[in-house]
Amino acid sequence: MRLLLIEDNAPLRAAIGQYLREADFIVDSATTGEEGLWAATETPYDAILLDLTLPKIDGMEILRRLRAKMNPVHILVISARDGLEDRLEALNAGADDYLVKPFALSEALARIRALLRRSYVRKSPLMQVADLQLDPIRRRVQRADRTIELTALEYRLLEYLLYRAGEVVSRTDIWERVFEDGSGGTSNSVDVYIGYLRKKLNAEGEPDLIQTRRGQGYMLEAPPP
Amino acid sequence: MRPPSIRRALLFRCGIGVGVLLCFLSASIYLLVRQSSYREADRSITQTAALLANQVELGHGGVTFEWQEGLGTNEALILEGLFQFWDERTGHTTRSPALQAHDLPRFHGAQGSPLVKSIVLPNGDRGRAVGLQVLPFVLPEESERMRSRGELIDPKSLPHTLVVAGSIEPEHHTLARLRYALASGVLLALALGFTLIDHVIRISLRPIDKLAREMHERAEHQLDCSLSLPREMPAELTGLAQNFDSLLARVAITRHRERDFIRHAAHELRTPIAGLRATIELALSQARDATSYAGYLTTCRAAADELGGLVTRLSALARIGTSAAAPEVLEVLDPHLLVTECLSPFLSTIELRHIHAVIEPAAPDLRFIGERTLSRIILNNLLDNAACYTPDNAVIRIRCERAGSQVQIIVSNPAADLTEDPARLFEPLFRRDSPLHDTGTHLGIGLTLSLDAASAMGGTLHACKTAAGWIEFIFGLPGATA
Repeated sequence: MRLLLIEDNAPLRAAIGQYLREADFIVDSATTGEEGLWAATETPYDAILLDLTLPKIDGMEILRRLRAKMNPVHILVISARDGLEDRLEALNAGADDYLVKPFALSEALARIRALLRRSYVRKSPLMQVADLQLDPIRRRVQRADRTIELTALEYRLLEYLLYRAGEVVSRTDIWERVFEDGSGGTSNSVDVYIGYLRKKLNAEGEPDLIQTRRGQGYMLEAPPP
Repeated sequence: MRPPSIRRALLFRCGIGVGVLLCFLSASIYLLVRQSSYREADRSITQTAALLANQVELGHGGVTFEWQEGLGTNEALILEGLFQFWDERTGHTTRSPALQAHDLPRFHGAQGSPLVKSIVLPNGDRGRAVGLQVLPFVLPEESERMRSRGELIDPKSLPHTLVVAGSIEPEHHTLARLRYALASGVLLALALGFTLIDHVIRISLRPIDKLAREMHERAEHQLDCSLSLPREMPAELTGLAQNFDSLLARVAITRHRERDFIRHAAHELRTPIAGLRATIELALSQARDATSYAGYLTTCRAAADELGGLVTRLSALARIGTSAAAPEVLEVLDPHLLVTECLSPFLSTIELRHIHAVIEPAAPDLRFIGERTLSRIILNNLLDNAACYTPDNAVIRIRCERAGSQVQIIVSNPAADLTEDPARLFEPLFRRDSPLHDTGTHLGIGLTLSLDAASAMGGTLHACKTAAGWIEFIFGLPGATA
C-alpha cells in the first residue's frame, strides 16, 4: 500500500513516515503543499495524510483541487486546528477522516487501515481467503493454523492482494503500490516476489490461492470446491 | 465608611435648599408683617402726636394745652392716650390722664422732625413712641393782646417736647402666632418636601438600579455583550450606558484577540508536540539499536528547542500591551541614520545571497519622534524579514519620506509569491512560508510585536503589495523638525 504524507514539520514527518514504513506501508513524503499536490496528482496513492497548514499551497486547497479532479484517494487530514468549523470545513471539502495533532501514531495507523478497508469494502481488519488469514494489527499470517514468516515486501504484497481478493490485480498496480521505487512500468520483480509468496504460502497438498491471469495479472481467491 | 450615595446627596442637598428657601420666605413674610404692624402703630401715634402738637397754645402770658380745656371730640383719644409734654425751658411736664404719675421716655427728633422708638410702657407692655419738639402757636387775637400789653413772647422761646406712645402688645401677640405658624409650616413643608424629593429621586434613579441589576445579573459568558438599553433610559444616562457599551465592545475585541491568541498558540504548539510525541512513540514502538535511539533523542532535543523558542516568543507576545506599549522616552530621531545603523548587521547575510540593499537619499532635515529601542526593534524585524524573504540576486529598497504629519520608513522587496492579504502578515503566529535562509527563528510574531510597538509610540505599521509584485512595509511615526 502506498501512502503520501504531506507535512511540513520535519520531526513529525520523519516519525510518521518511519512508523508507517515499519507497518509495511510504502510512504512518500512531501514538505510543501506544492510538492504534495504534484505527488498526489502524478502518483496513485491508496491514502494521503495531509496537514492543513502548509507552505506554498494550503492543505485545504490541495484537498479541494484533488476532489475537483475527481481524485478518489482517501485523505486523512492531520491538523493542529481542532475547532469544529475546521473539521467540518475539511470533511465537507472531501476529507475522509480528520485527526487532531498531537495524536498517537497507532491511531493514525488504525485510521489509515480503516480507510483502506473502506476502499476494498471490508468491515473486519482480519483478512481471510479460504484458510489463509492475515492479521494486519499483529502483522501475522497464518494458513491452516500454520504461521508463515514473510519479509516486509512479501507481507505488503500479500496484504495488497488480500485487500483486492477476488479481483485481477495488474502487475503495474502491484509495482506501484507495493514496491518502494514503484514509479511507472512493470517489473519482473513482481513475478519473482509472487513466486516467493507462493512458495511460503503453499505447503504440500495445499491449493495455490494466487491465480495467474496471463496478460492481466494476479488474483487471490479461494479455490473452487 | 459608607460610600457616597447619589440618593443621599440629592436628598440632603435638595432638603437643605428647600429648607433654606422656606426659612428665607418665612422670615421675609414675618418681617414684612412686623414692619407693616409697626408702620400702622407708628402712623397711629404719629397722627396723635400731630393732633396734640397743634393743641399747645400761647395765651394769657403762658402756654396752655387745649386738650386740657375741653375734651370734646378727642375725649377718647385724650383719656386713653399715652402722651407727655415737657417744657424744655422749665422742665415742667404735663402727662395724659392715662399715664397717671408715670413718665414716658423723653426724646425728640432734630428740628421738629418726629423720632419713633420702641419702648417699654409703664405697665410693662411693649410699645412704640414718637417724640418731637413742638412750639406753641399764637392766635392773631393773642398777638394783638400781647402787643397791647407790651409784652411780646416769642413762641420759639417756649419749646416743648411731646412724646406719644402706644401699646403694640396685640401686634406682638399676632406676630408670635405668625412666627409659630410659619415655623410649623416650614417644618411641615420640609417633612413633606423630603418625602416628595426622596420619592422623586428614587423614581429618577430607577434606571440606574435597572442598569446595575442588568450588569449584576450578567453571566460570565455575557460579560462583553452590549447592554440592552431600555427605551425609557434618561438622556443623562444614555451617554454613560453607551460609553459602557463601547467599553464592553472593546473588552469583547480584547477577549476575541485573546481567544485568537490562545487558539494560535495552541495551534503552533500542537505541531512540535505532535512531532515530539510521534518520535518518542516511534522509538518505543519496538526494540532498536543504540544509534537509532540516539537519532530519536537528537530529534526530540531539536523539537524541544523549537518548543522552547516558540514558548519564549509566545511569552513576548503575551507581554504586548504592558511593557512594550509604554515607551518611556520619546525623542527626535533621524530615520535615515537609524536605518543605516540597523541595516549593517544584515549586510553580510544579504551579500552572501547576492541581494543588494539600497537606501534611497532622504531630505537632511527629516526627523520623527519615537523611542529609540522600540524603533530599532521594529526596523530590525522589517529588515530581517526582508533579508530572509527576498529571493537571491534581488534588491531590497529602503526609503524615508514625509507623508502628511508622519515621517515614514518604507522597506520593500520583491514578493511575487505572496498571495495572502498583506494585512494577515501582522496576525499573531501567521507564517507566510519558511524563510529562504532560516526556518528556526521565524515563528510569526515579530510583525505582531512590531505593530504593537509602533502603536505604543503613536505610530503606524502596515504592509501593502505593489502592482510590480513587491511587498512594502511602511513604518510611520509623528514627524518632527531637525
